[in-house]
Amino acid sequence: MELNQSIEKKTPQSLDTLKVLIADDNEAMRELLRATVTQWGYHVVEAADGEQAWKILQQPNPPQLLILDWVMPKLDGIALCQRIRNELDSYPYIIFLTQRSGMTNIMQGLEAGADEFLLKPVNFTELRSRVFAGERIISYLNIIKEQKQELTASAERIKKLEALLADLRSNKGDK
Amino acid sequence: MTNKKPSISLIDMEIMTNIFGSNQVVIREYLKNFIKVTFELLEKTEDAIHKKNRQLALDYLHKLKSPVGTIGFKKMYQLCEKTEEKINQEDWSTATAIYNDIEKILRKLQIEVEKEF
Repeated sequence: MELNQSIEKKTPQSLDTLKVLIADDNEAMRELLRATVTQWGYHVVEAADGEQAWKILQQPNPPQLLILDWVMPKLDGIALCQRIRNELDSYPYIIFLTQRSGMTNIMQGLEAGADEFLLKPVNFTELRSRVFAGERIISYLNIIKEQKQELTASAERIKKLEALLADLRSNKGDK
Repeated sequence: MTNKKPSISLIDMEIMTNIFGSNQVVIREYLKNFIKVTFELLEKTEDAIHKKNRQLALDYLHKLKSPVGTIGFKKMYQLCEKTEEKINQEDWSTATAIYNDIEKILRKLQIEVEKEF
């Protein structure tokens, strides 16, 4: 059993308060994760089952980083993960945190759309590194999204200007 | 609760301090809730073992092990693993016997928490 639990207090710099969703039906486990992830400077939202997690993801400004348990009532972690990847336009970063070890389970988790697969009991040092890595990826995705929006807006402006220019040219030709 | 730093032999208090800081009230409240939640889960596990429902019993033991292992409650974690092993072998009588030991060790933790905080 890996019990390296040293937790360095470090606030990530790239994003102010990233929202992290913790979905686990064991309250005692959620409490441990909430205390730790909050300590790292994130805003934590909790769900006690997969269905509740899915509802949270439908709300405005949903969490961008998810820590999901595998075995949960109503909707398990795998089904939730598949639904997120199939039905959401956004791309939340997903970390599976489960007791289920072994290559078959790891592959199943990753194929369902998870970005990381970590085992319980939780090694908080490792979890912190994965969460920070996830945060970096989210910030890059946000930059890409913003630039895409800017490009779309610029393309619209160019289209309008081209139309104006065409009008001007045809007016000049009329004279 | 006295000013003396509580010493709970069954769990790793360093882990608790790393997670919750040095506030003993927060740690006490967490442990009380942990014990309550774990007893509830144990009842469900016992029922599944009694009904010889292998998958359900294993799922509950999975759930039990997560926080138990994370807070360094090694003795209980090992007992959960032994119970899983016996359930996988469908040795229900040994599984029941080990399950009783899990309950005992959790009661022991409950007494320690009540005494120390």
